[in-house]
This record gives sequence, C-alpha cells and structure tokens, in this order.
Amino acid sequence: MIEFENVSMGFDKAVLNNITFSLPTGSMLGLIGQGGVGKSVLLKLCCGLLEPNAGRVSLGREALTGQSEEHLARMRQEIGMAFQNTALFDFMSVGENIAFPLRQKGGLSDIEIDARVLDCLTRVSLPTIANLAPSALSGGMKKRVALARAMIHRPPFIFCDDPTAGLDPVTSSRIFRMIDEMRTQYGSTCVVVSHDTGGLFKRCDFVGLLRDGAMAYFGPTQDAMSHPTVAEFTLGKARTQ
Amino acid sequence: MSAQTRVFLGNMAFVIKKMMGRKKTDRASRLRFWSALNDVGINSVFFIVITLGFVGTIMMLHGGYQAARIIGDSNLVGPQILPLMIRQLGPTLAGLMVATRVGTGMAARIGSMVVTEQVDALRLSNACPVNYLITPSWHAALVMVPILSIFGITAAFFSGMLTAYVVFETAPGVYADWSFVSGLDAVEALIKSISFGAVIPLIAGTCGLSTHGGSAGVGRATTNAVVLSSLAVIILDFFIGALILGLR
Amino acid sequence: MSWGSFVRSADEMLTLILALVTGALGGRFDARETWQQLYLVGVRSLPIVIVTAIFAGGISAIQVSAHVVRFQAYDAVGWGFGFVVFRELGPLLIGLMFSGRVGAFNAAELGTMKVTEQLDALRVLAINPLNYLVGPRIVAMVVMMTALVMVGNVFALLGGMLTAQVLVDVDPMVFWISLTDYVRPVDLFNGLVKAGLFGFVIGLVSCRHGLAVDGGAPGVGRAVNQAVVASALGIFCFDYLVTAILP
Repeated sequence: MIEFENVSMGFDKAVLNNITFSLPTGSMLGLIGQGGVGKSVLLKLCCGLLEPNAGRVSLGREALTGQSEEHLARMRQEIGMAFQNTALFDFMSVGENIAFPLRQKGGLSDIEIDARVLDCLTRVSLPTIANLAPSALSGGMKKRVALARAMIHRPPFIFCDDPTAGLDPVTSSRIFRMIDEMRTQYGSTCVVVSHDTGGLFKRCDFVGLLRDGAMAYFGPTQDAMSHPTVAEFTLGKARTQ
Repeated sequence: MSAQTRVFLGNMAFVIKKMMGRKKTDRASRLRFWSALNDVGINSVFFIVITLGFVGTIMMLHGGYQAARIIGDSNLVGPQILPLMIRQLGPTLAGLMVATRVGTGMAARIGSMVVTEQVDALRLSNACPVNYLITPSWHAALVMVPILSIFGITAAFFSGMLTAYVVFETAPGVYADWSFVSGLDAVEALIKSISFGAVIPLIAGTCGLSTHGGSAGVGRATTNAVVLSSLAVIILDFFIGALILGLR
Repeated sequence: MSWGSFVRSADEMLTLILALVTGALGGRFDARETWQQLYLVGVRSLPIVIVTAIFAGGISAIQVSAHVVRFQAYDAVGWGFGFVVFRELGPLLIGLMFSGRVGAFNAAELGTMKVTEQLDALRVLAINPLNYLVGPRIVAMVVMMTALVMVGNVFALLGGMLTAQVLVDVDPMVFWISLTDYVRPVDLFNGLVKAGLFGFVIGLVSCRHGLAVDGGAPGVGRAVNQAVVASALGIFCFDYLVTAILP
C-alpha cells in the first residue's frame, strides 16, 4: 500500500498542494498530467529522495517521512526506481549497473548475482549485452536496462518515471508489458508516469491525473475515461498531436 | 550571506560529516581508491612536470638577468632560488595545477551525474554519494599532492639547471648549491601540499554535488570548482607561509 | 592527449585564428556584443582578481622577506617584491584565476549553446558565430586581462606593504623607496604584455573547447576541464616565451 496524506511540496514556489490518496498493495497506478506539473517530484517523494514540506508519505505500514538515514536505507531496499533519463552509471558495464542494487544489499554470492542479472536481462529481452557500456546502447535499450536495474532485487514497490518517453509505439507497448509482467510476478505495488495514455491505460488498475498541483482525478481505470477531466486531458492531447 | 552561499556551506558540512563517518572497506572501495590514485596522480604527472618545468626556467631567467644587471654576476642565483622553489612555487603551483585538472574533472563528473539522476540512483541503492564519489579522491589527493609537488620541484630544479648552464654558463655544480635550503623549507612544502590535497577534492566535490539545472548547471559547477579551489590554495599558501615565517 | 588529437586541435586552433584575423581586419566583429562582453568579463572577474592580487602580494612579501631576514637586507624588500609581483607572480596568478573564472565560464556557455543547438539557430539566421560570439569574447578577454592586471598590481602592492609591515616590520616608506629605486617601468610593461597574451590564450582555448563540445551535460563538463588545463599550459608556455624574449 502506498499512502499520501495531505502532502505538500514546493521549492521556490509550491509544486504539489495537499495531495491525498491511497494505492492498494499489488495494484498499478498510471500517473498522468502536463509537463512540469510535479509528476517526477511525486515519484521522488514516494522513494524518499525528497522530503515533503508538509504531510506524510508511507509505504506499506511504515511512514517514509521523518525517518532516520539508517531506517530510510533499510526501506529503500524494498524500492525499485527507473529514472526518467535512465540514470545508468556510465562508469560501469550494463551487467554491473543491474547488479549494483544487489551488491549494495549484500548477502548473495557473485554466482547468484550473475544468474539474477542474466535472468533480468532475459526478461527485458536483452540477454547478450551484459558486458557493453551504457553509452553503446540505443535509447530504448537504455530504458529497458534501467527497468531491469529497478527490478533486480524484486522490490515490493516499483516506480517508473516516464519509461516510454521518446520511444516508438512498438518498444513502448513492449515496455508496458514488461512492467506489468514483473509486478504481477513479484506482487509489487507500482506507480508509472507516462504520456502514452493509450498504452498505459491498458495495463494500470488506477489512474491519477495531476493538474495545478492537485490530484484532479484518482480512481479505477475503467471509470477514468468517462470522467470529464481525464477525457479532456487525453482527448486534448490527442487533438494537439 | 546569500542563499546560494548558505546552501553551499551546508553541503560542505554534510560532505565533511560523511567523510569523517565510519565506512566499510571492501574490494570495491579499494578499487575506487586505486582508480582515484591513478586519476589524481598518474594522469597529472605529465601536466605538472611540464608546467613546473617552465616555472624553473622562468625563475632562472628572471633571477639571472636581474643579478647580471644589479650585481653583475649570475652565479649566485641558483642557491637563491632553490629554497623558493621548494617552499613556495613548487607546492603552490602544483596545488593550483591539481585544482585545475583534478578539481574541474571531479566537479564535471559529479555534476553530470547529478543532472542525469545517477546520484539519486546511488542514494536509492544505499550507496552514499560522498563515500562513493568524493572520499576516494580525497584520500588519493592527500597522498598524491605531496608526491606531485616533489615531481614538480624536481622538474623545476632540472629545467632551472639547464637554463643556468645554457643561457648564463653557470656550471651545474655551482647552480645546485643547497647551502641556503633548510629543513624548515621542506616542512613548509609538506604542510602546504598536504593541506592543498585536503581542500581541493572537498571544495570540488561539494561544487559537483551542489549542481542543479542541466548542462548550464554543470558548466557553473565546474567553473566554481576551479575558482574556489584555486582561491583556497592561494589563501592557504599565504597563511601557512606567514606562520612558518614567524618560526624563522 | 595523443598526438593525433594534439595535431587536430592545433589545426582547429590555427583555422580559428585565421578566421578571426580575417573577421577582425574586415571589421566584422559585432560591436554591441563586444561592449557587452567587455562589461561582463570585467564585472565577473573584478572581485576575484582583487582578492587574488591582495593575497599574491602577501605571498610574495612573505617569501621575499624570508630571504631578506636571512641577509638583514631590509631595504631590498621593495625591489624583490616589485620585481616578482609585477613581472611574474601577479600576471601568472591573476591569469590562472581569470582562466578559471572567465575562461571556464566561457567554455561552459559556448558548450551549452552548442548542445542546445543555439549555434545552429544563429547560423540559420545567417549570423556567423565566429564574428558574433568568438571574436568579441577574445577581444574582451585581451583588453580586460590587461586592465585587470593593472588594477591587480595596485592591490598586490597594498597587500605586500601591509604584510611586510605586520610580519617583518618593514616601514611602508622604506618599502616604497626601494621599490621605486630599483623597479623600472619596463618591468611593469613586461607584466602587461604577458597579461594581454594570457588573455588571448585563455580566450582562444576556451572558445575552441566550448565550440567543440559533444554529448550533453557530461560533454560540457569535460570541455571546461580540458579548457582550463590547456589554458594553464598555454599560460606557462607564453610566460616562458615573454621572459626569454624580453629580458
């Protein structure tokens, strides 16, 4: 379960105002909204990279807000995040990138880690690239490697920041399918930000629409399309494209 | 004090706290230390030997022309400039060159990791960015800046000797007269180079971690790193020099 | 740096110089941009140059004093100091700081313009980036570097006199007299020639590295790094040449 209680966040000016929602365990939230509305900020609040100015964020039964560094470190082992610009470490090979969260967690032998890395790479259908440098990959491949790194430690919470940005429709739908498969297998709770509403709505259980710093809509996907605000957003987008 | 300065000082306090904290040493952290040694030390040797080589020649030319003009004898110049090379120009210019090469390199690397969210990814995997990105270079600089200073001083010594011989026809034996060099000069050089080694990675790393705002931000961070760490070298040089002068 | 890349960058640099000389002779540099750059370069670096100059003066006074104390030759402080600062350490340290402040900033700015395709946008508008961006910047750096070293000399003198009085008890008047007795105008002139040349090297190198940026934010960082390293090498190299040619 992911819970936001009256969360407000801003830097020089307010970005998110009084956000409250609760996402049940094992479900997937598709987060949509215009550029710069605070979707990425919301994701960083979810994984404790940012502290909210007010309110409380909790993952599972534990609050993420106001925790000590050590406690946060323990909670982060249950989090996987695929960053917007992939954030692959360019001083490591692809295989080392994916293995990194497991190595930091400790407790597994090198052989087990290698097997897990290969397994993860096979899932994202890139089994042969473990020894390449991230700079040698195309945009779509990087996105898939980032996904593999986010999921290598089978986290109960998965966050994906725009995993399909700038990709062709084929790769894009493939990535949504991969996220869906993995979270079903690990029973993870999942938040995905994307502008590809068509592909996203096929996979997610809930839809959240951010507008002017507030949750303009939060509810099940099947009701979302009939909601005027969501329809306006998706159709408006379709018209301008 | 501007908001930016406050944020920068806060970040620096954070970096110092993290660097002083206990951390585990494993194979990976040793590897990072070796690669930092390589980056700070081996890759800077060539640069420092070349620049300090010029400095030795320049000092000998200045000293020689002045001595010839005022005293009419340039044979005394060598013994006069050797202490200056050892206690001041060697360590300080080596420090400035490390600030230029290593400081900007660190800020550029860490800054681009910040704007491409790689630092966030490190934090999410519970790898402390300070211990991961700054501490290895800090340890490496503490070891390497004194060694680089010795290389630089040696380069300046030999290029000065060559200039003395070629331009002023001073025999190498007359030039290499160590009678004016005292133990205190060596102590001054050592204290200076160790303190330069300590502050340069600290300032450059903090500049890198304080980066925000895309490629323009990375440019700003690298600029700040070289300016602030060079300034720190010059200011430390002044105060350490004043302190040692008091002991003479 | 491998020989291949060295030859290539030397080749690019020569092409850049040739293009700039033709641009300057044809009077094609953008005048408004030149005034703007003169102002920006000066404003950006004046505080840092003043601080550097004061400390450079202090450092020189300390090091000269260490000699003077040994030989009890207090009336030589001003001579040694003036010579070291005006001819050598002043232009050198101010040049290195200027390279960090203005050169690095310039490489970063041009690099950012390159990666965000602003340079292409200029070309589309039929504006030659060399005459519009590079030429004015180099002119501004040569002029401002010379002017800043003049200002710096004054502050270095203040820093040196103060340090000599506080640390070795040399009366400022004694200091001043030994300075004016032995230091010749040619020493000052020599330092200013160096300053102008350093400004030129810093401008040329930082513009070249800025324009050659490739590959987003990491590319900009790398370019700044290379620009300051190459500027430092250029500064020492010209320092040597001027010292050897103009005794």
